[in-house]
Amino acid sequence: MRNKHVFYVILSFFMVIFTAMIGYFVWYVQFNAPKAINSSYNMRQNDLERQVIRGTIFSAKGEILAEEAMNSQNVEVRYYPYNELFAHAVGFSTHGKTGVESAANIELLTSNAPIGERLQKEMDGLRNYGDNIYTTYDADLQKAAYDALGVYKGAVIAMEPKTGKILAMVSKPDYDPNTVSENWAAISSDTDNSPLVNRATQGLYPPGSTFKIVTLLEYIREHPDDYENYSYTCKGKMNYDGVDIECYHRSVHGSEDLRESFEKSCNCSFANIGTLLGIKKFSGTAGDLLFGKTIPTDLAYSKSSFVLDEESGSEEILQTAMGQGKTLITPLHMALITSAIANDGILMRPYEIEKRTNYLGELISETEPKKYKTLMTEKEAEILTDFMVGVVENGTGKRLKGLSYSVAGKTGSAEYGTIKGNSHAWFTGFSNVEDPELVVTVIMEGAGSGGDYAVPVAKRVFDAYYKR
Amino acid sequence: MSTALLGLSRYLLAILMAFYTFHCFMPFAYGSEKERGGFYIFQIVFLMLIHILGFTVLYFRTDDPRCVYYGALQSVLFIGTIVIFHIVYPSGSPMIVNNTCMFLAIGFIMLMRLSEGKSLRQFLIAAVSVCISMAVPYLVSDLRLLSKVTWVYGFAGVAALSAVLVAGAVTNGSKLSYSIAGITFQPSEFVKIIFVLFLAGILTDVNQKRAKGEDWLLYFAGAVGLGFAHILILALSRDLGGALILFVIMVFMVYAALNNPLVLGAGAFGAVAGALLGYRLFSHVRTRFLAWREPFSYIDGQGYQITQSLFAIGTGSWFGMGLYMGSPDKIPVVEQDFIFSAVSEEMGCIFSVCLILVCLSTFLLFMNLAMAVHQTYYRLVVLGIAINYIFQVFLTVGGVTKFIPLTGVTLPLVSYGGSSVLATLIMFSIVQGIYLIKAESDARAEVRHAK
Repeated sequence: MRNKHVFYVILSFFMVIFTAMIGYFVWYVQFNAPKAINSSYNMRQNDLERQVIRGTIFSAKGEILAEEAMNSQNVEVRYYPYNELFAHAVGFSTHGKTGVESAANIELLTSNAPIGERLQKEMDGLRNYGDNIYTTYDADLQKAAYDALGVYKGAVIAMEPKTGKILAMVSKPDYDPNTVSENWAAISSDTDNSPLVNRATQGLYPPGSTFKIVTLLEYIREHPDDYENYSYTCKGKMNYDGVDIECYHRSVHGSEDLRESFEKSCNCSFANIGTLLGIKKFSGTAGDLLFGKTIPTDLAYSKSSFVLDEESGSEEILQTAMGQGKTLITPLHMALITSAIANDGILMRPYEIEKRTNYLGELISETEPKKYKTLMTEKEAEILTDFMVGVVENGTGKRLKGLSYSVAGKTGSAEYGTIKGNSHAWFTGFSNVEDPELVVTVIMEGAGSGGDYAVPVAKRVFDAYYKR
Repeated sequence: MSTALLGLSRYLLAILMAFYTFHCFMPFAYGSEKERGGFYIFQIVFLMLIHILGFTVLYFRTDDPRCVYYGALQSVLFIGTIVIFHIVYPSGSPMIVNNTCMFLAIGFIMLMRLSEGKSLRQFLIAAVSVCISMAVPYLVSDLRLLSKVTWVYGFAGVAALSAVLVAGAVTNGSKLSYSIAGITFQPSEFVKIIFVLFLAGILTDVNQKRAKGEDWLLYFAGAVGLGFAHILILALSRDLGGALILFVIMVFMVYAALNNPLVLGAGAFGAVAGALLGYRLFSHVRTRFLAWREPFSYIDGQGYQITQSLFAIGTGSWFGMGLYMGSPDKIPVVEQDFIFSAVSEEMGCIFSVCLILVCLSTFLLFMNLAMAVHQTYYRLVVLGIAINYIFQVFLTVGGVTKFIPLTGVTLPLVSYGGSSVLATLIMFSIVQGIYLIKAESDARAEVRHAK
């Protein structure tokens, strides 16, 4: 056995597997690790904090949203100058981590200060300055949304459909992140208000009539050529297969086509549509719109649910078609569906972190707007937009008519609980219909009808946006 | 001064380790041992600097005077080993000795940081093992002690493993060890050595029979059967790493001896079939596989170890957190299976990639020797030891970095564990013995040539 080639074969085998392994290792450390180590299970974040001073979080325009500061006892604390305003959006880092404080945790604890300075500080046993994060949040818009929501529990989201930038995200009830650690026991045990829950991303609500967007899309998909021929006569209530359906406040809408049914948000008509749909296809369309799917965000969120299948009974089908039933959705998800409609069917990946700089302001990395998925065809988006314009022009969204900007949207009054008439007020829509600029989604718990309560809140947000 | 040193230490350690690694590969570019001498001297310098710097940092961080004592005693052990070996065995390989000391030094530093008690034990075990293994090259080269008791080796291996399977203690769900007089033995570590000797002997016989035209198939089949018996017992003891290592050794040794690519095909087929069968039959195999595919979905259970390891490596990043500045103790069994993650976390990934490269340079050295030795038997022994060593490195490093599923094997000479240190030192010393045999026959050949 003087044949050396055997040894070269064996040598090559091990060289190949080791090269692959080292390559994988290096790739992990350089590219995957920063994301992977940002987990609440990684207790090593405290190790980083001993070496790095946590960076500052800014608004898009450079207002400070969170920074390290000295308190009156000269102890370093995390300071949130806007108090409650950004409670959920920016979050806190003092008792666990939430919001941007969580999403950008490792970046805030990593220093990209000039290398000479870093070495000098390490040699002096001092901590280095962590990187800064510029968010996409607009403090003025956030303030407008916060004030507009007033004393109601609920959430407001404002985002750019073309980029996915989240400009404002409010959730109420809230808390002061400056004192969240001191008041932890009270805040975390307040189950009536659940102030820690970011309702914008984690609150699961029945979509109410805003869901009619989905039912409408499904009907159009099943009747692409003759959906305009649909007609129905609403008597304020209906009965199908032993199931009773009523319109909101038992309004009698009379004879109507598909467009009028949508503009007036006629429950009876949409329950009727429900009886005409293929359930499997309906479920597929809901899936296309990300019901039951993951949502592309680094914020903590809940998954929306759509539960119809071929076994479902008439009651469930009818209720679901008009937006009640067991369907649940988060305000963020609603805003994303609306964004896709506004953006020719294309959903942009939502983001709230604009860029990362070192503490001197030199750019380290920047988020580029990125397409996530096409949720519907351009044609479908166009039809839905047209119908949503009708809601504002002739229907439940009239309060947004005749302004300096145009709006397309849909209201919702989602009944909840067992007492008749209690409803969450919904609005979701976008401004400047020809060239969509801003999506606003509003949910107000137990406020009443969407047209009367949620639409005015959305209007104040749109007004603030165009006054800038 | 001490603050500055502490601040800079992680960069210094990475740089020193990079230099050391560089000097592990440079010798391959030069033909004669004379020309290589300078590199070996530099290796010793960097080895000592790394060891001293490591223990200085540990001392400054803890103010524990034992850091100074242990560090000093270990330095004596390293220098003593290097010098005595050079005097006793001038034609052995100095680089293997240097690398051995390097691995031990990294282990000593990391173990001292993790657990003073384990560091001391490891040091004592290493000192005794070094003394024992110092005699091995002599036994191999002068007394030719490795002559062919082949079948005895084979049956002894099966017997030892069976004894553990039946009567052994249950550690970490795998029956791996048994204790005599308070000292825990892990026979599988030593069985690996005799397994290599067994196969080398059998395969040498097979080649002789083939050369003479005798019937060899039955003889060969019997040996392969006995080899599989080893692997099966290890698999039943749930020592998947051990079973896999023996399997790979067997495939490559048979391939080298028969010089038939079909063996590699059969080996690949066997590996796939074995993996599928294991997955079907054993729940712990499925668990490992799941923990590898989606560790973050099982972070509270089966995925806990690997995710902690990934956190450690990722948080440490290129230059590490610095000794005592990370949390390697959060990884279960960090001193044994996860020592590589601990090194990565606190000394950095540049350092740990260099460590892998030093392991590879050791393997290259073994392979070079295997190709240069004339006698079939010794070539196969060196080949078997080389594969045993490098494949174990692959399993442990690949496992803790999530490149492959975890198999729970140690990083030779760096991880804590007496049986593993002694067995590895014996294997390295057998290789040294074969270096001596080669030098002897080279010298004879030269004399013949001169005549």
